[in-house]
Amino acid sequence: MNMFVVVEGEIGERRVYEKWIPFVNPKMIWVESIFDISENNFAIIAGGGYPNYFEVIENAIDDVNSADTVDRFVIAVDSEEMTFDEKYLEISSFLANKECSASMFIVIQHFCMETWALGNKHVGPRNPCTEILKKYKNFFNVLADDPELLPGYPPADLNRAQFAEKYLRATGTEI
Amino acid sequence: MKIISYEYKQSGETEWKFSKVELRNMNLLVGDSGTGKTVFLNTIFNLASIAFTSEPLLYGHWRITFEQDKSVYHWEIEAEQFSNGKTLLMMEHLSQETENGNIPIIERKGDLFKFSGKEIPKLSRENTSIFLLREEEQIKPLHRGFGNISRRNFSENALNENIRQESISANFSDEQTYLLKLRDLDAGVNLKLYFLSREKPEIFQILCDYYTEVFPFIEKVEIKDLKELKPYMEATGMFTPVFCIKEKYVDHWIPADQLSSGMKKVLLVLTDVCIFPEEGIYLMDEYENSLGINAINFFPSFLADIETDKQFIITSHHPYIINKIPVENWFIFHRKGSEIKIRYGRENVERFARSKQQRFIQLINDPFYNEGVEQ
Repeated sequence: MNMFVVVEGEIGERRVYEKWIPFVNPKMIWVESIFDISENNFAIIAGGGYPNYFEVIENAIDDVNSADTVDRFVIAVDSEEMTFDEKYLEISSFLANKECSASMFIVIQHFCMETWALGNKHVGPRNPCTEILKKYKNFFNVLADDPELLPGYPPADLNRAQFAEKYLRATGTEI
Repeated sequence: MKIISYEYKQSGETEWKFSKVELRNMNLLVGDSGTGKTVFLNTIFNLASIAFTSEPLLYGHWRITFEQDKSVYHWEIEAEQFSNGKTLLMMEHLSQETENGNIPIIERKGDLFKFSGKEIPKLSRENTSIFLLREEEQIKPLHRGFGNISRRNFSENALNENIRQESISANFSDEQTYLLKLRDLDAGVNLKLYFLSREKPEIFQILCDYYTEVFPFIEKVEIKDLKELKPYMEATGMFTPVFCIKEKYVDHWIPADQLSSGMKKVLLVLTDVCIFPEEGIYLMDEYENSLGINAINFFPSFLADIETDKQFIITSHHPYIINKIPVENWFIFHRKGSEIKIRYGRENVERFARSKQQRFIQLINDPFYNEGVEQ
């Protein structure tokens, strides 16, 4: 099985998926480019963020069709300020009329990849040491409540995606 | 002058080492922030400075092959800094490629100094031979060549300094001219554009067309005498050319020194490219900083239209610039500690051509680029 993945941003998500895919399926081996794919390989391309990734997705479909080695074409993007359903609909509508030789899968990171990381019970803010993490935990405890429900953080004018990133960084400094 | 190949390293283990690179006419240095692109430009400019002026030597080991007046030269120079802070020349070789092989011009090691095979009296080890022997017929063109390496600085001071107003005699003679004036790289933009409009009106027109295209709110541009703008000034018998714009819906002329910094920057780049001597080398670091998107996009097509044969070594992080400049002209920087590897864009041409993705997208997905600084 061969896979080609378009991820949302530039470097962060690429690095995560590069480790994550072989972790889930150890047969899968990362290759640099879609054109290096042969057997049990996967390649990843960064979409450069919203809305740039639409052009990257469109060109990626052309590459999947011309490479003709890809079984699964995966698009993994953040919902950010949209609901899960709204983002899914946006991407699936975009893909609706596209002809792709591989099966297409949409992964919505609701509402960003950092949210998922905040759901990891091993890295959560159990006994926060820094003031900032104490403030964040008092405001919203990701250990007790679903991080996908994390709101924005008005005291610092952060929207929910920005807050998730700050929260994760603050948590990371205590590991 | 054209640099054919270039290599620079410092001797300490923790100091900069750039792999040898063969340069082209247009050279776009790309790489993550911190991969050494600016340092690379600085080392070229430093070499030019110590070849052209008596500025204190900078330490390091340079190897450069360059073309000057259709001859190819190899120059190797090593300078070392001592504990008293002085930097002295340790070794220098300059040779010229001929049909009969490389003919040595300068051989220098410690105090030994040979010029065209003959030992000459001891000369200062604080200066390069190209500077010391700049009056010699064999060396003169090389000295001039290094003087034509220019690095554009976009600091606020540099912008204002370049947009200054300068007066010339109102009845200057035509012989006092264009080439002399234009090649005087110390002249400001106003004076340079005045001479350009007189001597090469077609190039001046291209420059004006681009300028009004980049800033479409400009109705027309003209070179005016300062006296026209400030009639209350006393007549001095001098002529002070000022590049001026007339904006739509504004009823007065605006002189160059009153333009926004972005407009000054674009004017400066356009003027540089038009005026710079054909054998010049132009170094420019991230000119896109603080410019609006319209002011960034003009550059690649302007270079194509002006059909220049000058050598450009520029850096950019901007997708538009990177997409517009052919991959063959890219040099991708990657740093591990103080060692910088430079990969030729031409190595990516075939691979990039297979994909429909934009070149910039492919670049940022290239591990050599996106892991540009190894931890």
